[in-house]
Amino acid sequence: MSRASVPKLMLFVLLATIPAAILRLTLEGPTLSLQLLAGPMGALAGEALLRRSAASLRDGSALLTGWLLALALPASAGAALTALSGGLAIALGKAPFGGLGHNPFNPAMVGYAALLMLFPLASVDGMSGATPLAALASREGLTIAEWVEAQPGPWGTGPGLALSLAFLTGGAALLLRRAIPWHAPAGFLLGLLGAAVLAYDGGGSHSAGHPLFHLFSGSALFAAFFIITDPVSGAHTPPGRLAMGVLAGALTVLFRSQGPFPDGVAFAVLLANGAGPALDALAEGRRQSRA
Amino acid sequence: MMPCIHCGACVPVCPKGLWPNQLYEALAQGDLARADALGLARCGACRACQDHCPSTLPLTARFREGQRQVLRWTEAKTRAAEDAQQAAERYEAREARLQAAEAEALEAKRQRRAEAKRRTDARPPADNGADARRDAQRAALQRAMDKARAEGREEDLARLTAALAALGAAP
Ligand code: SF4
Ligand code: SF4
Repeated sequence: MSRASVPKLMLFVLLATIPAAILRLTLEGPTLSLQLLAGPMGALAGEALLRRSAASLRDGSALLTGWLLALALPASAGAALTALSGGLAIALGKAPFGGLGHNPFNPAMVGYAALLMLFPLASVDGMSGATPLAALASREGLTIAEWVEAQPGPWGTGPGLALSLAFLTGGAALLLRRAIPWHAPAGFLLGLLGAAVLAYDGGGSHSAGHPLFHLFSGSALFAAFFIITDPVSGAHTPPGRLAMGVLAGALTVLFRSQGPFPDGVAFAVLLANGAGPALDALAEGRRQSRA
Repeated sequence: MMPCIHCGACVPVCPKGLWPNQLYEALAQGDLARADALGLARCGACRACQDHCPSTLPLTARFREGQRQVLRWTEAKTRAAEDAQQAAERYEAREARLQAAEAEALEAKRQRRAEAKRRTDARPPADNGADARRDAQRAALQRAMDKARAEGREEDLARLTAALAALGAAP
């Protein structure tokens, strides 16, 4: 894009998620719309209470944070908890650091992680409503092949795949319009697939899961194009963003296979965000010695 | 104008391959060394970054000002280095002067001592002179007594004899 304003940029990212939002509404029923409204409302309320400036409401960042958060949460979270999570996203993840442009961590993932810790049962699986990840985590000694056979359809098909493709479409639009730099998504997909390939043992009972399964389940593609891409949090240099993406993708596979929660995207992104400033410093140092 | 959201729109459009968002951040923090390391000097002020910034930040003007700041900063650094060099030279010169003066004073003192010693060694023993003087006085008294005896001046002879006795016997 030649010249956008900050609110326009935020709105464009939000528009890119519309196909996925519509798909979720048709799959999970119209009550989900309450949740999709509650997320932005909670975040805007948090922003209004803590920032006390009309301009910070109009920049669209809180709106987008709440919206992405509502999309990331499963329908089981409900409108009330989603609103709470949106408020927590701003109160814990954004306002204390000085508002727009200053939050080191992705506010939506801060809100997600906060809710996951307060109410572990409400947000069990990442969005997608996809039980595959929960099932993978608790498949109790079945081999991947056995487990796949036990599923209603072959893995990676059905609602989870459709939703992933909807996010992929939106992400492609963002990249084609150059609304977001390509480095973080490329790094994320590289890290996710790389780690999944390294960990893949052909589908044994302790397998971490087929690489394509990791790519098309849970919130992997959502995170690749709409979460790790948050420009403010984490790394700010092209090499730093690439490295941060790789880290987040690899950590996602690690947390999915080893962590206590079925989907580890939120924690992977938060951890990778934390490494951002160090990765930037490395990138700048390397530039300096080359010059 | 809004804060930099690090959207990265300014990065691919910079013809010099700079990272305007990082440059702007470094200058906002007053970190001239970092801005310099990020290649601030290479910015050609083409305004491409500024024209693409959704936060409408005054990037180019800030970079121009930053370049001037870095110039002043490097000049101040050179000046400070020169001042320090001069101070060091002044200090060393003064030290050398003080040491030379001290050595000179020591040498003069040594020479004065040697001179004094030489003079003491050359002088004859103190009582030699006194003895010689008394011998001469005795001889003179003897001559005067001989003359008084020859001319028969009895009182003079008695006075001279007493004076000779007062001088003491010859050693
Ligand atoms: S275009 Fe503006 S807001 Fe975006 S990164 Fe560059 S300076 Fe920051
Ligand atoms: S003004 Fe300077 S930093 Fe901005 S695009 Fe031009 S050369 Fe690059």
